[in-house]
Amino acid sequence: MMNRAYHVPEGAANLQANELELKEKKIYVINELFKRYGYQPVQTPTFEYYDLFSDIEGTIDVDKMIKLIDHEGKILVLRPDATIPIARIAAQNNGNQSYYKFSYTTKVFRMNESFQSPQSREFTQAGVEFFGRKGLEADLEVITLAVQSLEKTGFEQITLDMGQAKFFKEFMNHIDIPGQASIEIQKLIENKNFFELEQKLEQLNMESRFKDIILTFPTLYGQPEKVFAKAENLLVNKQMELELDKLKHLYKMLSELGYQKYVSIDLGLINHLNYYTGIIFQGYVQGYGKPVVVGGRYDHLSRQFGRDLPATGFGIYIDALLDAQRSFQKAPDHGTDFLILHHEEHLKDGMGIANQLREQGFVVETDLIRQESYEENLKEMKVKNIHYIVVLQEDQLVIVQQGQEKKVYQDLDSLKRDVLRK
Amino acid sequence: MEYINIALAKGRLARETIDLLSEVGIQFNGWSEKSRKLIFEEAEHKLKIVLVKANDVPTYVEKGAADVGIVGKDTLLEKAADVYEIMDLGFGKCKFAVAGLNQVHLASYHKLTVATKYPNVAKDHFYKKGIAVDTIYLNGSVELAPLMGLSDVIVDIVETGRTLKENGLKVIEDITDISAKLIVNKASFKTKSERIHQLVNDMRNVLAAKGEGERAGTYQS
Repeated sequence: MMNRAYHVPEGAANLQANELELKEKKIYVINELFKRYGYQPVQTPTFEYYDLFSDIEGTIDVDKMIKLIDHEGKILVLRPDATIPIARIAAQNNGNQSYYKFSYTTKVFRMNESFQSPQSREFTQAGVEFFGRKGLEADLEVITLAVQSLEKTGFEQITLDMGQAKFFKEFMNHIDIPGQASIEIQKLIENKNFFELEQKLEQLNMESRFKDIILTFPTLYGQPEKVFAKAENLLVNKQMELELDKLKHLYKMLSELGYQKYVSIDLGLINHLNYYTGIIFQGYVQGYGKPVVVGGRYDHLSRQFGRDLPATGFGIYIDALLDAQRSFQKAPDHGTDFLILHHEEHLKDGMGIANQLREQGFVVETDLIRQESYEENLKEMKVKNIHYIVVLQEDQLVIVQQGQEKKVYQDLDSLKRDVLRK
Repeated sequence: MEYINIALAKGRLARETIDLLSEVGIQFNGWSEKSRKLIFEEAEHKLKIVLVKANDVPTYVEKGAADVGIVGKDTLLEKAADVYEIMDLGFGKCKFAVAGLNQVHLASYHKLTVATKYPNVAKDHFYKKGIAVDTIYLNGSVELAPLMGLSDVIVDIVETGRTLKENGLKVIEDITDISAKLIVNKASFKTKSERIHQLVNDMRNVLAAKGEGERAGTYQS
């Protein structure tokens, strides 16, 4: 039997040095951007009561939640979704603000079955939630912010795929078909499975014009103007028209801001999280097979916590951003600028020089001299990416290098002058 | 321009797909069935085909290592993948069926042992009928199981029924029809949309002209 102590659990991963630094840098850039739009950071517990997520209609699959039992036998889960606990914060905030803008960077846990890649079960999400505004200007802000987050983290080829959850829902309400069939139809539309959708519809007793409309749904994607034109022919009631108009209007505003090059429309986009109630979107970047940003409007979520607050927001899959850039972005050079070697009796001088250099922003390590040839240190220089080894001798500072002459300096200033010139 | 990668299930489906592509005007030089090469390129349209095991096609496509995949519905039924299932290609037709020695009585009052390479398909089929089953996963020659007393019935792909017949088995009931499907990675569908739509449309037109895959005509972009 394998010794589990040696293994990281499936779907989780260690992250070290360069990779971690790259990740933290991305998170920093994104959080700075959120801050400059007036979003305030929030943090919610890593574990919550199971009921929080299971009681709310249309949230994540209960089988995918990672469950724990507390000492009273209550079921807890590791946070399977970032938005729901934040909606609770917004609803329970008793202040008299008319709107709240929250941002977060957090781990999300889901017992995903397929593809046990590292980070498939524990992954980092950063995002914003904008509560209290139901107008399109809020959707616009959030979508703009999603696009800018990708731009700022180094992506150029971005595809922003927008849909309208309500457009399809209003249609399904209108035609009134049995629940199970409705779920199956939704799934087939989502997978653009024209063939089986047609087969499925053949079995159903429904007006043929409605069947034609359903069959058109999976084709409602691509260039916005074309999709809008096609969708106009499908309107069966005023609500559908209203929802389509919102999407059109938003597209117009995005175009005005110069983002139309990124936008495609997919009215067959029906997210697995059923809490979405309006405009939804997914962001894709070149060379990565999954969406890196997922978001949209969810006006009814905070109502479940006792306060009606319309809302929209998104989450960025940070680990996915790193995966997407792995092929062309080098991890930062995570090296040490100076290694100061000294004898124990020169401890104070050694530390003094090291601290002076650190003050100036250099990465400095110190160690005791163990052998006069510095063999060991020189060997490690390359592996550890140390730029200079400086040895403290009597009144001198000596730079030692593999296979090269030693360089002797009288004081730190002259050493720095020489070294920094390069 | 980036390459579009197409993952093909090795064997008959790969052959049929390459024939179809050549009718669309895309020729893969150096392709022959005997070749041991796994990747073939077409520089003009910037297309690449990779030959993988059928079970791996959905993996390649879901992960985005391949943009497009061609694989039997049997594989997709056994292992659900998060991909767009755009088109039925009309070839590679066969069916999933339950087969056994004699007229085994498929009733819910006794437990049934099923040998199969497709445990999910088998379980799903019998659960829907309210029949409790023990599934035994086998890697091949599933027909042997009832003969050797390992199982009551088998669930397998049936094409002509010859293998069953030569081993004294017969089809007890059909489960579902199977044919080749064209699947597309969800991100590629958005980010390389023009070229993928073009390719899919070209294939659909050739199929429609041949009268095969009548239903492929329902795809429009």
